[in-house]
Amino acid sequence: MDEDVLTTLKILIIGESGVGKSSLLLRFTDDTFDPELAATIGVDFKVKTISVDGNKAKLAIWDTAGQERFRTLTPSYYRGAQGVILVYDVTRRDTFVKLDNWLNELETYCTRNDIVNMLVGNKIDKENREVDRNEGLKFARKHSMLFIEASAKTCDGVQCAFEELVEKIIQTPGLWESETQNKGVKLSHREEGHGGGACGGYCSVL
Amino acid sequence: MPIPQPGTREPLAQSVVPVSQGETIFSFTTFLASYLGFATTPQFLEQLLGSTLSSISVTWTHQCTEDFYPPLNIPSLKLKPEPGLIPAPEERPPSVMTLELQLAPEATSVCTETEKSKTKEQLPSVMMFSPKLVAEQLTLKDSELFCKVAPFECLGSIWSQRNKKGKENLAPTVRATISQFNKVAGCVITTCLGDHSMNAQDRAKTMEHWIKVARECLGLGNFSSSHAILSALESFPLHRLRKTWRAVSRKCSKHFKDLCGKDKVLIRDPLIKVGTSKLEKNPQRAQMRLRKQKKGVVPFLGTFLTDLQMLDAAMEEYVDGNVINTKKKMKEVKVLQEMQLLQVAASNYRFQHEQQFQMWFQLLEGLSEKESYHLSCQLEPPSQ
Repeated sequence: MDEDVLTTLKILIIGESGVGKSSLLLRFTDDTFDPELAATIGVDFKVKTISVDGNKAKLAIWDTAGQERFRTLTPSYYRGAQGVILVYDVTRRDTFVKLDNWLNELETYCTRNDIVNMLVGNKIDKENREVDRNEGLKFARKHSMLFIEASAKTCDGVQCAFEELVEKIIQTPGLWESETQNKGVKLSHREEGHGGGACGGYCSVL
Repeated sequence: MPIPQPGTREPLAQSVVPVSQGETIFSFTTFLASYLGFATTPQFLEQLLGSTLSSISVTWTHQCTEDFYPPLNIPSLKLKPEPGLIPAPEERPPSVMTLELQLAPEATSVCTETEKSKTKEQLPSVMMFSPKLVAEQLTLKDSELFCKVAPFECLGSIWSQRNKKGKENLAPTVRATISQFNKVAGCVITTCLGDHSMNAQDRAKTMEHWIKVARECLGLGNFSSSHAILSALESFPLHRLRKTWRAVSRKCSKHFKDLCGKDKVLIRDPLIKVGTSKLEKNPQRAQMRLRKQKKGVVPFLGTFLTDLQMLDAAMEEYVDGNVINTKKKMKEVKVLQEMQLLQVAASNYRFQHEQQFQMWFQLLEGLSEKESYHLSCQLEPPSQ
């Protein structure tokens, strides 16, 4: 184990198909993918170590691109996640409209209510924009999410998105320290009396 | 397969042609599944003209009927369709879905209106059918669908287009597989939640039954339905039913845990199960071995879709301007080759349709995700 790594965080990338989730993930990690290697080590996530404010965190980033239509998203997928990146495509309004469904899903499945959510408006390098920045920001505010616009193509904003998310997670007491002992089957905190599905109340500085 | 040299389409096509003259057609069939990523059908076809078209065109028209639709307009060639292979001019190309419906009419013709009017409660319980029978019947359907999957539809550059306007009919063979997968998952959830007269003990028995079915599916090498069943048992509406899970026998709970562990490995590398692996250098040898072994396999298609999507996002289509990125193509071809190997294995099953189960499966109306969640909360309220 890396001695200087503060913690390992589980991050999920979700959103409609074709919004560029896998590109976002690849631009942030090493930009490579090898199906044979993935099969050999049997992983469905990519790992990257990131340094924020002098703290090193190892990120395990999960992405199910290509599988959105399978009825497979189970609590075990969401279990133990500290951060969620919810992606839409600024050139496709339908992907923005569907955000409500994804939030419902998150609220239903997430095992804790202090999980940090970030909204990412992707593909800002394209010209035919259908969702303007303010709409995205407004939606993020309403649902207490961090917000950033990015382009996986030009790498614009990609690093920043992950850094901001990790920073917020590290600043949220109790979200990451206790996670290591928390590996058993655990039913939703929300169900066990914390009530409500509202997130912590942070909003982007952007 | 000879490695295509980096360059434009022409050298790539030429480097593929000699393959068909040799002893194997396997690499060529894989190539057919991937060429749409960088050339149109007329472009590619014209490249092949004057060489060995006759020896391969039969395979091509048989394997990828839809490539020849709408009718091609190539000045140097008159393509004479074999009767029955090329569709009559219509608005859109034939989808395998449509073909499949014609071939397997039980979905529509077997279910008469009177039968459809039966309510969920009137249908017999899934416990009527032994786990072995259920697993075999699911495998029969899954393998049929997987064999029909057109590999090129799984390519990241194609499958990622599925939600775009006007692409609603894209990748019908992939959609058919996904819809069967979801139907199986829905069936598990519905049989555990849909009957109001059941108590926690009954529901636990039904869950145990499905755990046994999942076990049988894994034994049969059907990783698609086993994954569907295990995902359903882990889905939120079922996973949260603590009272019910408490009533599940210790032995079955242990099996369930073991199965979930195996499932994670096997959906990643289904070839392990049939004794070959991705590392097999000679696809023909692997193919021969699979045929001899007579072992069937149905992989979980989602793994291929994710891998191909990631590959597509990780590598550029063109390098240095307009030069096709052959590295990418070779990697894609490798994945498609593995799929085709598995299609050979999927055709090894020899089960017969069992009318009663198939009808039951068709008639079962699955609960929506919302309904399932609602019913689950009725059974065990969230505040408990």
